[in-house]
Amino acid sequence: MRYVLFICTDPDGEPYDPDTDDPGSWVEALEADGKYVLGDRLRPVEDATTVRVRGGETVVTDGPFTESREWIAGFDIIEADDLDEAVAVAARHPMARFGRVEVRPVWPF
Amino acid sequence: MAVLGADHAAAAVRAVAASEHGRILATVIGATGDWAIAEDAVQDALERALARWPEDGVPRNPAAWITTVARRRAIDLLRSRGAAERAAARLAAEPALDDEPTERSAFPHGDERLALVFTACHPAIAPDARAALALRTVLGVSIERLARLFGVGEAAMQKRLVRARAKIAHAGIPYRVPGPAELPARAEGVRQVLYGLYAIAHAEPTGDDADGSAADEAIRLTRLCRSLMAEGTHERLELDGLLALMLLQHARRAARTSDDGTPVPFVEQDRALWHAEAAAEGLALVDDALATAAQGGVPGGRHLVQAAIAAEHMRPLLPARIDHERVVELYRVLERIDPSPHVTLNRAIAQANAGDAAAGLDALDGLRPALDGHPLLHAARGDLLARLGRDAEAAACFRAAADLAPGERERRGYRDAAAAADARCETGQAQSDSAAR
Repeated sequence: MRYVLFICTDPDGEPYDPDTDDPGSWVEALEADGKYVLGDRLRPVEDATTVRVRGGETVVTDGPFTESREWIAGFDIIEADDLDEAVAVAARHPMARFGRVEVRPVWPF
Repeated sequence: MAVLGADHAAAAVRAVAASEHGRILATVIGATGDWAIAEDAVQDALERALARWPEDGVPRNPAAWITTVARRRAIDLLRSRGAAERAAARLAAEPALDDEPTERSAFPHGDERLALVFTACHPAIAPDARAALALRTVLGVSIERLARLFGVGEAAMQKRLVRARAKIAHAGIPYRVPGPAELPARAEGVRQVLYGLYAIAHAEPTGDDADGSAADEAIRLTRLCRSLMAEGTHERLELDGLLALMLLQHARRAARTSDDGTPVPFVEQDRALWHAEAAAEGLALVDDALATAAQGGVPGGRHLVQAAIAAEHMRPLLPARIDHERVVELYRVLERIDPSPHVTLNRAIAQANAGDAAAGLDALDGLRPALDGHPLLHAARGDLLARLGRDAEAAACFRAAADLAPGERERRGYRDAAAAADARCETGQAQSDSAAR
């Protein structure tokens, strides 16, 4: 199955440690297993733009749709046999400790 | 095959559902990988049995008949829903079962029913759905009864189960017993559900489960689960405790109610009716687990403490020899590791049994905000007030308990207690009147 991991900030997370919290080695390990599809960091919410079409008019606004203390800082698309494997992969991501990870199964068309 | 009446056939269907539901459903889930379709297919097969068996007679192997019909139905459902053609093909390729039960199993450490319990208790499933899903899946408990047990409406219960089965399918929750690395983290939820399975089977021995097979099934699954846990660990001790607790309660099964179904209080039970073997096994488990906990410095949890409390009540040959001080002590341990108003209520009763009814009554008064709507609190207060000779107040408490009691049998019991307290009041009044004259 394919899962998207939303890597989120979390005000209640543990402190960041630059020596051990390296997403690079996490990606490498997944790539070596052939489980990694795609992923990246995302620019902060200040750089977000929200688009709506209402009555045929495109409305463009600055910032995210909702104000929140927690935001999506990155995403990774992975292959896993089942939820347990996806959870294990998510738990190894450094930001599971100083942020949190939302695991969402892909719903193919 | 003998032609039987509809009642007889219905009884046969109920009997299969009570003892074999989990196995049948597990087989169909194993083949389809879809909990929702498997559930519908088994329900349809049970209905088919209700329609066919009165005319055709009960088949030689009823469980295999239902499994075969359910599998065929699952193929139809998979096809008609347009999904998973490959799954339908795989299922169709499996040999027909006819009259032989399936013994093949992909579960080396036990059986597929334990995998059902672990999957139903997966932490990714909503907490309020886990126990209900396990009960529905493993024991086939009806939606109506589940709704009653969990205090929600039938539609809400149905929705919870549909949601949970959809989550299993959509999120890819695996159908298996987890490996050794994940087991400890998953064990607590499974223990809760195993005890739930047992408690429900035990609470209504004359309900859907007249022959006790649901309780046997819970004990069997608990044994299996215990065998998975490494010796000397907290998890193993808790499963020792849980198994012991079930065995000790199970041992008293025949003595718990009189012939007309009235509950018999523990101290009045005929100990000759206790199941000696189950009691002995339960007591030995508690002794060994407590010794291991003490030697290895491994902390016991609530199930071991609960089992130790049950053992204190059952070990003495006479109820008069129960060490109530020790029971109070154990309840205080339980209040520390698993605090709840019901634990405190039991501690208060134990204090009264240990000779300090006034202290017990104080503790009960402290529970009034939490348990005011609960008949057990009022009944316990009535009991303790009566022991203190305050019969008029006791009678009022028993009447309050009767008003809150869920069943006619309990209501009658509380009314009788109220009448007895009233009678003692009148006798006391008459005596003091005659003394005054």
